[in-house]
Amino acid sequence: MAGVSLLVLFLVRKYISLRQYSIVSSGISPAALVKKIHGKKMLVVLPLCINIILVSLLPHIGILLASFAKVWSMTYLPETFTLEHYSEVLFRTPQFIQNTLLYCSLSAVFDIVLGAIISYLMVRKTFPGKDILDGLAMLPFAIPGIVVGIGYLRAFYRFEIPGLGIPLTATWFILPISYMIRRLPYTVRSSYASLQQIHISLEEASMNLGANRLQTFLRITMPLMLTGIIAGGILAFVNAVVEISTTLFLTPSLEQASLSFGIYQYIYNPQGKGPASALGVFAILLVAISIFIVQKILGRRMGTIFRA
Amino acid sequence: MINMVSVKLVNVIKRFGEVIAADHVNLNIKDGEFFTLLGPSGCGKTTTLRIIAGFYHPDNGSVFFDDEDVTNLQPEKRQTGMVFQNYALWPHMKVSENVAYGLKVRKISRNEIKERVTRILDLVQLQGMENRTPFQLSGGQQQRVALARALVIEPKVLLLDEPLSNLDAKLRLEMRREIIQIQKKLGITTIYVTHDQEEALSVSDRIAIQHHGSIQQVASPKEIYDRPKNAFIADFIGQCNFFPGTIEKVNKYVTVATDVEERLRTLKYDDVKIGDRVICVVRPENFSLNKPTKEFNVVECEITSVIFIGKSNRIYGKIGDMTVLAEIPTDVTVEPGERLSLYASIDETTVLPITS
Repeated sequence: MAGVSLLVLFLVRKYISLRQYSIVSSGISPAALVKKIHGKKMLVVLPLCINIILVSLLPHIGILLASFAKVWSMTYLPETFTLEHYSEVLFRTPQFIQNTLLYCSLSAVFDIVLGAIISYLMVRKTFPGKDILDGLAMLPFAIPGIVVGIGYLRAFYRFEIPGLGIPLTATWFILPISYMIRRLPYTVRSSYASLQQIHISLEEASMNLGANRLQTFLRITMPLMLTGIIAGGILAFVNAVVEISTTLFLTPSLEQASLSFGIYQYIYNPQGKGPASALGVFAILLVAISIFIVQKILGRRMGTIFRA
Repeated sequence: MINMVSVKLVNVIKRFGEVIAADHVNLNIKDGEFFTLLGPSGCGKTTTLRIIAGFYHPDNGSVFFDDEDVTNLQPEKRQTGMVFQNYALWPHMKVSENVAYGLKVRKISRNEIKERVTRILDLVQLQGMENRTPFQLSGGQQQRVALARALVIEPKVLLLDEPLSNLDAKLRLEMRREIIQIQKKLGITTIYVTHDQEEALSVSDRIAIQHHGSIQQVASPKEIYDRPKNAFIADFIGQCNFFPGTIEKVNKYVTVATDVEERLRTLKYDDVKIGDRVICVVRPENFSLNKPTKEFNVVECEITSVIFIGKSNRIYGKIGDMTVLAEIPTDVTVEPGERLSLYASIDETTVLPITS
């Protein structure tokens, strides 16, 4: 399965990299290309759009209602509302949200650093094994989380952390590490895209004026890549928040579990549907806010992140 | 205040795969000189400049600043100031920050930086623009910032890579004049890369013409124009009429029997002997309709078309199967189909060896 997806990935990359991308302004403002829909067409388009959006939002609405519902069965809407599910997840089991924030921030930060370095090597340097590095950095896209989960468990359950004497899989470290690897392609791709837009002469000008490579990278390249890198990092963060497959395999204990594991635990508990929904609301909020920030940063360049 | 150096390239070779971008380049650029590398695109002139800046390491040969061998010196240690074709201004910095960058990297005190940035912005006439970002500037202003940024570090050599090619025609003339003025004022050794022959002729102390990586001729603008060393240069610098032929007689003049059965005489200035295949060159503006007072050549042609280009008429004529081009004043009326005698004085007729 991983082989097939890897093959497709490589074909797409090969095909797309044959093309030169550059920004050409045609003299027509983008707004002029947008057509207004009038009259009868509106009668068809509007209900269609509303229906599609409503259907896709139905689960979210359901979760929101369930998170406030005291009793909800056999009726369209909950009969009584309560805040106790929120107090449950905020005060009795606060570790789920706390852990998620910690793990996902850690993995996103590491992804940002790794992504910046890997993409810099990829765009600016030639070295033996460059294609292999490129492939490795993209590989997590092609491997299902469940495979990564089992793989990490098998690989690291005997790997003891130097100095601590306990296996890596018995600590929470394994979670941010697995998130980091799983979401690395996001930051690599986003840095890659923004780096390609930085003309090499901007770096050369810096060296010409007396700055060495490190100074040039820190003062010129990094600041210019920053928006792309941060946007990629937030996307990595968001995707780590909702990561379930590796989480299930690698979570060492309930105390060290994250939000998605918490939802999974609650949902199999007869009384847990409310707290599970409350956690779900937090997950939705985290994702929504993050995506909103990314969109503010990137604007119309959103698509560049996903260009292979 | 500005330290001038001479720049010397000795036997520099640079290959990119199969392509040879710099082919045994030998150059001797004097201190304080305005030196231009001229050639068509892909001739290797930018490669040569980048070798001087240190962005390329030559496969062979050496680069000297005065007597110092800088071949293995990193670009940041060479103290050259380069103006890039696209200006390469940093969009995340203000004008003053762009200009101050090279000084900050050199750990110069804040007061001195401020003073020197102000002084250099005055020089390039950008007073009051300190707090703009590059995007808020016009093309010409961006050009000035790039120039100021390169000059403020008081470089040993100023390197200009087609700095005017992104400007519109009028601004280009203005900036050209300004660059010469600044260069003369500072007396800084300047190496200028361009593909525009008119630009090269008008700004340079000396010009090196590069073609397929190798230097064809190094000379003053006037000498390059009047005495091109080969047909490529003659053709590249201005327009030319080429008359291939065989040398018939060598005495005070060289007489060439051209393939269109006209005889042309030229001054003798190269090693030529009877029977050599050569090319005679006459520039269109050197033809006239009146007999010159000096000794002259004359060719007879039949006019095929007349094109008005403002300052003169451009006349296309036929001699046998060859097309000849002449530029003559607009006050003479000539019509296609007429026969015309074109005169060119002997010292404006050049003979060139045929290069394979």
